[in-house]
Amino acid sequence: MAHSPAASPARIPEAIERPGQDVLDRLERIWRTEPGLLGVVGTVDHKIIGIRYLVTAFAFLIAGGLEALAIRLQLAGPDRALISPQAYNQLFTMHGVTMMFLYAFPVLSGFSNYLWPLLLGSRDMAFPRLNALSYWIFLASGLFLYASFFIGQAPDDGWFNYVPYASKVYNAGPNIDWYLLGLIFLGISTTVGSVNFVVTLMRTRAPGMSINRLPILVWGTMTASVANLFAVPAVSLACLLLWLDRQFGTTFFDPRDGGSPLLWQHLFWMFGHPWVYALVLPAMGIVSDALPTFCRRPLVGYTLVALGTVATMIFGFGVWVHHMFATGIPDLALSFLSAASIVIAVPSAVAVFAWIATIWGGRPVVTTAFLFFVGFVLLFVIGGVSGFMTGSVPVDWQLTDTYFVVAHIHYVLVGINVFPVIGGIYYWFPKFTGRMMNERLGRWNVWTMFVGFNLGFFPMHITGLMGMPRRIYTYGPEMGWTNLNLVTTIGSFLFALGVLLFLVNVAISLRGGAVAGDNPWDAPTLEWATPSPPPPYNFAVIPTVASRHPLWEDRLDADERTDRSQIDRGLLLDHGRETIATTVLDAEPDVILKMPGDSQAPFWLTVALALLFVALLLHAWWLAGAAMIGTGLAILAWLWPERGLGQRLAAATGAPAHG
Amino acid sequence: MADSATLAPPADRALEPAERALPVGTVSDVRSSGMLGMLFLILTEATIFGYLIFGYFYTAASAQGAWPPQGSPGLGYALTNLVLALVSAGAVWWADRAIRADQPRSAAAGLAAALFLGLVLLGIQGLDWRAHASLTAGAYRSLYLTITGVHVAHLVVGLGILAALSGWTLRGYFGAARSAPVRIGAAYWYFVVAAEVAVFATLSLSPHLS
Amino acid sequence: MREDSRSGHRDGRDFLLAGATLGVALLCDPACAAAAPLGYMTAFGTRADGILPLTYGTMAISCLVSVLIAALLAWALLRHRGTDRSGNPRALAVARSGGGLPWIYVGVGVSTLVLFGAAAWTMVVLSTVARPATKPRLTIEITARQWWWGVRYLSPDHARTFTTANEIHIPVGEPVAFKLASEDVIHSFWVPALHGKTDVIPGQTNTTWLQARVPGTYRGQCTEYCGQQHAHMGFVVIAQEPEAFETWYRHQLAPTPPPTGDLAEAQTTFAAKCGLCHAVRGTPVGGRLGPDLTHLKSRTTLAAGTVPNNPGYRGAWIADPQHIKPGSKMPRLDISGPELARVQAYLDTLD
Repeated sequence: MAHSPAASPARIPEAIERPGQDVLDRLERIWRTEPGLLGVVGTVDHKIIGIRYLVTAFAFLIAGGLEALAIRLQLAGPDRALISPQAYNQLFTMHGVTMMFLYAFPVLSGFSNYLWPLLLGSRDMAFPRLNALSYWIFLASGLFLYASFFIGQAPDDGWFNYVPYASKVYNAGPNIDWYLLGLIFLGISTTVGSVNFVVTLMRTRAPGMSINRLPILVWGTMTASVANLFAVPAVSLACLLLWLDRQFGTTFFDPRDGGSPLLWQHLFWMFGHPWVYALVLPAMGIVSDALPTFCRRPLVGYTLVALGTVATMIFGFGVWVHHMFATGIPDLALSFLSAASIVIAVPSAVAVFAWIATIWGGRPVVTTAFLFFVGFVLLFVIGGVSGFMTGSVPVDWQLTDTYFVVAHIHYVLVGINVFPVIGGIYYWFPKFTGRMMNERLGRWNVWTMFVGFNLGFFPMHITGLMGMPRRIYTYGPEMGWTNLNLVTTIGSFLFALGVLLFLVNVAISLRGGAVAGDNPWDAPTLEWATPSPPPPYNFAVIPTVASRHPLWEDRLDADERTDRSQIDRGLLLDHGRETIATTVLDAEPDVILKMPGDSQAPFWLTVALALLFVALLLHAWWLAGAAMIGTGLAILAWLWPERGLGQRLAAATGAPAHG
Repeated sequence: MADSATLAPPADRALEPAERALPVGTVSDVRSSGMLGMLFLILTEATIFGYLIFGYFYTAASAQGAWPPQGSPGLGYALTNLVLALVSAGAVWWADRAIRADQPRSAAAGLAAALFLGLVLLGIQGLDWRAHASLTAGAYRSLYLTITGVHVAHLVVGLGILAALSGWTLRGYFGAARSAPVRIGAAYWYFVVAAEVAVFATLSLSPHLS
Repeated sequence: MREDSRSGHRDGRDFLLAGATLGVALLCDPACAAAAPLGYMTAFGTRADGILPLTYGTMAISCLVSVLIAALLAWALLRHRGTDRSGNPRALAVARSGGGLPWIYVGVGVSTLVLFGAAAWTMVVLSTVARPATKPRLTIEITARQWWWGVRYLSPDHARTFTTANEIHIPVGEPVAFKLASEDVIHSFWVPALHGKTDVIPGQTNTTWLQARVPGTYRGQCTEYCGQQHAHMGFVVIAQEPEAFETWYRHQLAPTPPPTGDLAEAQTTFAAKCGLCHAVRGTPVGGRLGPDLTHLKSRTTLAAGTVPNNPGYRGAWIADPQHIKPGSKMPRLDISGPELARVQAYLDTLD
């Protein structure tokens, strides 16, 4: 049964101009999600997945925020007995775990999932089913972690879970196992999501979208994704090793038998430091893309900002030991790491001055989103300089593990993640929903959040300098921290009120916001060339891109321009779900990709994995084995070559079939 | 179809869409999405081994007393497995070549041979573990068993991949016009073999070098 | 609306400035040091002396940079107010992309200089505070446990070694070496008035040294989360003039006189109820699980700096340690009123 060698199928893709309604209808039929429960479970539409990420991440933000408010009530005065020490330790741990793992990165994944194909001029991500998988695993691992909380067995060793306190001897319950397995589970989502972003960037950009025309959000997410591929294995491995220590008596971290507690710290921070950059670089990208719209001019120093993004992340891999300055590191290493930790601020300075220059050289239109971005710049700098202070080893020896560090981490995380995220929602809400958010309520929102945040967290710099340690459930009246803690508590509640105003604004705008139109902000990038909200197929024809600002080309460098971006004319690609793959550097059309439609496999694979992790938690080894088999079967079903996607040869001809 | 116009040369100079035939759905080289995805997966999984090896040397450096505590582990099983792994890489390379030359049966044979060698590898690793069951508990034993264990886990996944690919190849799914899956599976198997080399160098060779 | 945003933004900036100024003013006031026992913006020891200018320096740079950026932002925002924008709403601010790069070059250039300067200064301070001017004559071994501090004074003369807990005395004006060990989890040893923190990690012995410049009582605290009562793992360092220190030292070495009369019975009760965990040198009571109680009455605090050491708190602590420090390893004993009175009477003799 020898096959005569057949050529791979190929065709000249049809290009059209100004597609008519019948074309749009046909594309809609091809790309829309199946109705009903099957569609809910099986959708691979990146826009739906993006919204799910955003909503779920915000749900976790609220949970983490409530935990924080409970903490603040306990610390509002000295020697309060509102919350027991055991409950307090679980609260601060879950607050950290929730914010660092279940809110801050997933919310950025939400933006990127929704926006990337639109920004890149594509119809979907490179791996639509993998996209769905990364969301389902995120949801499942978040629920898995929170199950511990609901039965009072939440992890209680902080979000970085140092040993030996996390070992079986000192923490015998299942709580730490929950943390370890939960993080490994979540790590799968992060990893597959990162692979998806990187391959999407390399493959599915619109023709002409060369790398020097990519929006900075894309640079930020790409940098974070590549970094995650190298960083997440460290924490997954650390969690696996500690889990083995706790279940099977291995001694990776037990100093009584050759192990080393510091090995945990090294592995964790080799992940943890790049991770904090992954939490902020995409958000900085949001601002770098949205702020120029309101400044009515392009970002100043695009190339420097893009390179600065990558440089920050690369250097970020070298400085993890600055979380360990007090552990007895030799002097020479201390000097080197301190210098590196201080100097890493340079690429960040590039971004700050780029933003200020853009505002300066532009003509600002003050909207709520714009105010969030301006507030972000200031909070970024304050968080950055407190980081600069802790980067100096001798100073850090006093500052570390006090509320000064708590102030620093919140300025950088709330300032560089939450503020751009909220501003980003104000900016893209019209695109997601077709409606504008309420500007008046928005102003109340931004000021309440800004004032509340600073009122709550600025005093922490001072309580830190007055020696208040982290992670204490109470303190004595003689310490001098009483008044500042009360101010912090009040500020925190004001900040929470601001977040509530935001949620109210979202709710009322969904129902009754003003109709937005395609491009209410007159913004320059490709997503604003689609209807609001975009149809399932994003673009009726694949656009061709000639600059960083396709929608401003008539007004920007208009006389110099020889090429123009094309939105209304381009490749149709309607023989089923199709999009174009382009070459990596110059984005020239390369392959017509067949994209999968709705699929149940990602959901059921997640169920199998969840079963596996629950079984491991409960030590139900047979169930774990069965779940592993289930996982294998789900993957097999997923990867089974499909004729319609050109994944296998047609029976007789030896040529791959395609729909 | 009535309202849309096929493309006429535009009035102002604009970028032209593709005017040549583009492959549909599949390419067979490193440009394929599946291959890129596999390469990045390999990168992240290889990093796990990197961190494991870091943990090994970090623990060795902080060890009080001899390292390894009971002397170097024997070379016998590890060397056998190294050779078997390299031969299996050859079998997979053979299969890769065969599928691109549109010889699916030959390719399936290569994949099945690699699968068989992989199973033998698994068995020998089991013998190796039994031989090292007498290692005193402690950090060295933990590291030895876990590093080899993580490798075995990746190997087992590789066996699954080889089995699936053999089956699909025999069913006629793949050929010269659709060779990507075999090449992608081959890439994974090369990674498993490379990891075997790294594990061998760390556990079996490095004690002799210090 | 333009008015709103302008004044609103300025309000935010002014508030921040006011807060920062107040904060800095508060901190630099030495009287505040007394009000903040764990503060370190005033130094009382050699190493802290070396670090403090760098702390103030980096803080000054930080405040200056923050104010500068706030000012630049405000200026960038406000310079266009009042500009006529009644024309084309689709107008862009520029006709050419590009431009504005000098902002980045100057801003990053200045930042780099400042950052490199700070890094260099850091190296200098690191080497300054690294080693003491003279070799320490006294070495103290600290054993950290959940949630108290074992303190052992070492000496080449065996007769001059002794163990105590939670309170450390050192002579002023000379370096004292510390060897830090943990029996269980990671803790951190910190006396802010004298120097920065050093983690106490099981499986390794970290070392540090402290040199007090001024006699006084300095608060210490564990600063690495170590479990339920991390919040109540403090200690006290008392720096004394050399003669006073020697007097204290000799007093600590002095044996406990044997109790007579009723107190003998009190000691029996004490041994029965407390001897499993506690020790009093010179008596048969030799438990090693808890703090050494020799010369207990000479200490200023109880329960690792949690409560003052007076008869009232002693009684409350023994009667129900879980009420003061829930989760503490000292159990709530089944002890009757008369038994408690006898134990307290005995402890009252441990001057």
